[in-house]
Amino acid sequence: MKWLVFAFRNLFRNARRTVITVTIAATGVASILCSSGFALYTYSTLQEMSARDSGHLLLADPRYFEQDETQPLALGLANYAPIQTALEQDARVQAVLPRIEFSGLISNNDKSVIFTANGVDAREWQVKGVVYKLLQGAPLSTEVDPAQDPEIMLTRDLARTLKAEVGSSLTLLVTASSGSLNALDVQVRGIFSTGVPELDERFMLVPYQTAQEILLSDKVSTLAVYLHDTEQTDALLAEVRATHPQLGVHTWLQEAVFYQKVRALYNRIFGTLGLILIVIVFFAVFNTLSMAVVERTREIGTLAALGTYRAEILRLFMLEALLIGLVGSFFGVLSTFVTAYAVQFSGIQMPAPPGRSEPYPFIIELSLPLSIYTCLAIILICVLAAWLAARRGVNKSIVEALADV
Amino acid sequence: MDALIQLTNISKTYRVGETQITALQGINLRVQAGEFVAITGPSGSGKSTLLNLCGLLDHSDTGRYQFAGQEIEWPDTQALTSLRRAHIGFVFQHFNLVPVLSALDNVAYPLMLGALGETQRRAQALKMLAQVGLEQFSHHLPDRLSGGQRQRVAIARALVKHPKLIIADEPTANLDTQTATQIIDLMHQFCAEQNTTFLIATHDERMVKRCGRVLHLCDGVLQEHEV
Repeated sequence: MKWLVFAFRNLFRNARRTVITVTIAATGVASILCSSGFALYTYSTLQEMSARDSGHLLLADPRYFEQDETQPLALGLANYAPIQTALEQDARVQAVLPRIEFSGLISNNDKSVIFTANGVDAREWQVKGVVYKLLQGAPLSTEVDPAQDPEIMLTRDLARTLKAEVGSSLTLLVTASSGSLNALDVQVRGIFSTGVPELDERFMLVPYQTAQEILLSDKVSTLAVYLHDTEQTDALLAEVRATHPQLGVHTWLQEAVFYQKVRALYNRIFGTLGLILIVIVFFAVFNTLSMAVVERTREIGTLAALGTYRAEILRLFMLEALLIGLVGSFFGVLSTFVTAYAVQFSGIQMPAPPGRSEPYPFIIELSLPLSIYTCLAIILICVLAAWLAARRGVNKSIVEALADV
Repeated sequence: MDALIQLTNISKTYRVGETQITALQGINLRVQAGEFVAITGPSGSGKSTLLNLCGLLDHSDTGRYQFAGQEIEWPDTQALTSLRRAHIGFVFQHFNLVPVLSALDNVAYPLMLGALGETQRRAQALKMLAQVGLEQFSHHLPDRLSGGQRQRVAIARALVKHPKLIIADEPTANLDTQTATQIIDLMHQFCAEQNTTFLIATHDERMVKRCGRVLHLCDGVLQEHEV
């Protein structure tokens, strides 16, 4: 017989109480893993969406990130093509896409409204993936047809305001880079949603060549570098800063204000929840072990009389708690797996978060490191609770303990 | 030759509320190895207190205690635990077996505290169980054993590490005559075979008659009776 076997047998003295304690520990583990698994899924989804929205790296004139432009493209990048070509040679890079940010008025002849626009490479729609949702028509054409009016893509609410549909002709009026006004007739190629209600009221996409044409400039605002793997961002950032010291470089994280706010909010919510659960598990185990210590006072005295050191008796109770923690963690992880798969197959949708118009799937991401850390935390809490509960009983005088009825 | 137990001018008082109770006063006692000693006296005379002191479970207020030639010093509980672990076995009135351990594991428990391997522990515990006639009950839990069987398991547990001293507090108090006689025989046998010293607090005349030396405690004062 070993101490662990002794501890294991002790758990069956009051099997019902042990089962309840193990269930509480398992529920604690499962709750922490499910809630943080959902947070992890949200983080990874938002991270990917943020990176796909802005580009993993954003290259521009250094002043572009610090100052407001007095005129469109006043702080734009000239002669960007060699940089674009060089970066696209890198195997880690999926695409390097020019982007022009500008604003102006868009008119349907009856009504004019303010717009903000991104002049983009037609490939950007493909590269961005699921960031935008196409509602009608098609993405921008990769080949520009000089015989036709340039294409644009309108967001849902902007199209509704302008009573525009796919194929509608509209007119853009902007302040060009020289400060003069310039106008251009365009045709609606597609209607889409950004998922952000405020953006859907005034945002649109145009080919960057069209933007350069109307802004009377051959510059671009930024070069957006898209990677195959987000994890490579920091490595490439260092290389780009070394090879192009004249450029200002931002990562997707610096641009992802929404992501950072959501992450900070979720960290607080789920951190607090986790803390509450850990406290509940602590008190459950403390209560169980305290009762066990009181019930076994005479036995503690007997073991001490037989020559068992106090530390050994304390260790026995801590081993019992360790087993409770281990079994609880096992069942907690198991029920998290079952819940995660059940939730995934049930297709439950979460309501659209604040500032967004689209719901998103309720998915629990399973994470091995998170599972390990959570189980270790719960086991540690169980052992700590046992130590606190048993300390008093073990320190009682042997004579008093033996006289306990 | 050094005595196994040498008590010199030992006194012990308790405080219960406002009342101070003198449990032992001026006790001088010398017990040689291999002696079979009974301590008698009415309830509250200090028998258990004396046993607790001799068994290193409690300490005196005044006086000196030498165990196997070694000066006992409180409150070095770690050292006293080591001494109990190596040299002292206990037999309790209510047996005090661990209910979740089988008879074999209960007997093997003191060996688990030592350096012996699992196989040797089990073999030694089984041998001891056979010596008390309970080999066939080795896998029974205490609640499936009779009172006499439990006390025999307790004796086996006390003796398995071959201690110098066995402290027994009313070991036959809860047993019928036949079982009590068996237990007394068993203790005598080990005393004779292994030269183990027995210090037994008892009211049981059957036990007293079989002891080589009888000490009587009254109001904390020790008197020796000729047998």
